[in-house]
Amino acid sequence: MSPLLDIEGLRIDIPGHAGLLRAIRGISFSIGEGESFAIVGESGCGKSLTAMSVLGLLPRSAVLSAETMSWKNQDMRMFGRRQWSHLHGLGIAAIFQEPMTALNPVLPIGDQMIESFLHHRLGNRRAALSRAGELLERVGVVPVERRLRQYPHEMSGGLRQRVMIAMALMCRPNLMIADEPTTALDVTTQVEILALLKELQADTGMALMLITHDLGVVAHVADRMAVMYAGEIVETGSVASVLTRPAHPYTSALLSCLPTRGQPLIPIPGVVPALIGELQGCIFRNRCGFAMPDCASQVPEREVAPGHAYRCLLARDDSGSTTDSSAAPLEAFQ
Amino acid sequence: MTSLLEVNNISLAFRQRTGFFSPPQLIPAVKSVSMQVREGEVMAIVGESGSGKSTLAKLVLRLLMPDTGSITIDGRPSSTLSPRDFANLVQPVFQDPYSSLNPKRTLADIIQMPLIVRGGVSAKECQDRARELFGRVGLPMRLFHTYPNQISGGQRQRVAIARALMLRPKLLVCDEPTSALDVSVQAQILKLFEELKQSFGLTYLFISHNLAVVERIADRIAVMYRGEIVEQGETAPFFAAPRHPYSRMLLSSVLIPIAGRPLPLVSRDFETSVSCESPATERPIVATRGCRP
Repeated sequence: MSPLLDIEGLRIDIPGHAGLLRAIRGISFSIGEGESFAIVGESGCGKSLTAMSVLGLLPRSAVLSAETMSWKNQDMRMFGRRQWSHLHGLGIAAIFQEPMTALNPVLPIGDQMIESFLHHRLGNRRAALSRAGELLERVGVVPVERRLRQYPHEMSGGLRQRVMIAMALMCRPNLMIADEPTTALDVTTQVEILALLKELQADTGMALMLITHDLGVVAHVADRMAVMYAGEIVETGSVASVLTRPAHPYTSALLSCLPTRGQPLIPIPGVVPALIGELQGCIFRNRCGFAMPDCASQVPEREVAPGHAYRCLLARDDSGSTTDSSAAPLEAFQ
Repeated sequence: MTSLLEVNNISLAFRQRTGFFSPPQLIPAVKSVSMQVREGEVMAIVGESGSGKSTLAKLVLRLLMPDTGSITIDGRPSSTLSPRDFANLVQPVFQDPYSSLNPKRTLADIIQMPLIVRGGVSAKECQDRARELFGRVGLPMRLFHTYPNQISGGQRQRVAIARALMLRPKLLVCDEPTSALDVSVQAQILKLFEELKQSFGLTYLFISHNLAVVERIADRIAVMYRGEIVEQGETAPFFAAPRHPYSRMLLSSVLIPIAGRPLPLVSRDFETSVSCESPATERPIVATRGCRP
């Protein structure tokens, strides 16, 4: 079976004052029908840019190149305006972190919700409003009649995010891109929104591309994941495999800086470097506790298990491991 | 042991006009809250949006005045302190470091401002202290004369912390200081809070919605729900056995990175009296009473 979305060797360069910013440096991933795929990393690692490239919404100055970039076996690089427009909403829908800025403050949410439905000519206004009502009910934004006439400022953050989700579902997309969908929300609301996303996925069979910096969220929502650092995928595999046997030091570091009961909190020193100029070897080496001189030159790709690969000089043996002092089982929590 | 901060039975209700001619509606935000924060202790206030925790912070910071009740700081009624004395005792760190720093001033100016306003020291001393704090919060000196838009979110929060420490206050009121940050940066900032507490002998009132975060840093925890403190206690016993169903719900909402577990069920069964159409999605405006186990 061919995947819904297939990306190979994606590169994005953005020219700037200080030089060429190599924002994405050769990443590959694919998302199958109905699958949940998560991209994890800190701010500035290129997660959102990856999502934007899939949506065809890169900044004008950005230069994109890829070996493969296909949507349902069609080459996305050949897409013209009409094909992108067709893809938006019908094929791929997106929800973003800040539901206040993503919604239009001067339009009632009913009018905003039916816009793409009408644009894609899926029915008349009456059909659109009835679908909007159905979806609002489904995501728990009730009473529907009143909500459709409300403006975004009349709702709480959690409600707005529910409206965004309902809006994204209007045209029955095959893939939903959720870029930090719960980062701006309370922990309790976060759980409710994630549960809703999972339910909707089970109901509609759509695929989900989840972008987040929180491995706790990934563990509960995604099937497969990729850890991004400085524009590269440093580790990828099934969520179960990556979280129980993190092989890349960056993955382990991300795990240990999540506040978890009974575990020491170990921050990652420093920040993601600017990706300007010649970049060689492992970019994580100056923040890595296991760095060695060779890290500056070569970074082999290794495999932990079929489908679980990582990029690091450090071999990870399965008996006692070199990197997982922080990845000890976290069972003490509940 | 002496209490640095004592909050005695304070209440505040906001007045909201529903229509032009209708009388204003009273919306209670904080209802008869009492607590003590001892010197050198970290007291965490936990709850969802709308639970009144930020209103409580603003009351402590004197940004709002309570309808009833009183607040005592360092043995003196907070309302009788002069602004200068108050600023010497209590300083805030806010959630969003993007809006809490003046974009038109350099970091050096931002950090020095509280001391310049208070006066009493020479410009040289003021700058020396700012430089010292700049290093203490882990900022590289080359950023000293840059502007907020040139630094990252985590660095901005460090600037906000340095500014709060300029007057050597006893109490820092931190309102969600890490929730706008990445998890990796959050860990760095939490660590910084711990270090500064040791070296400056600080007391924190630490407000957050994430129990996993406050467990790291708090000595005691108070859980707020609909304007009331529903549970209060020492951190370790609290986490071992939270009593109130709302505390349990908050605790179970913390997502841990172990694959294959179902999402926790967020059950709001304990919301007995309901005043709006959909309890699961909208927080009631009209408060309920008697939610105690």
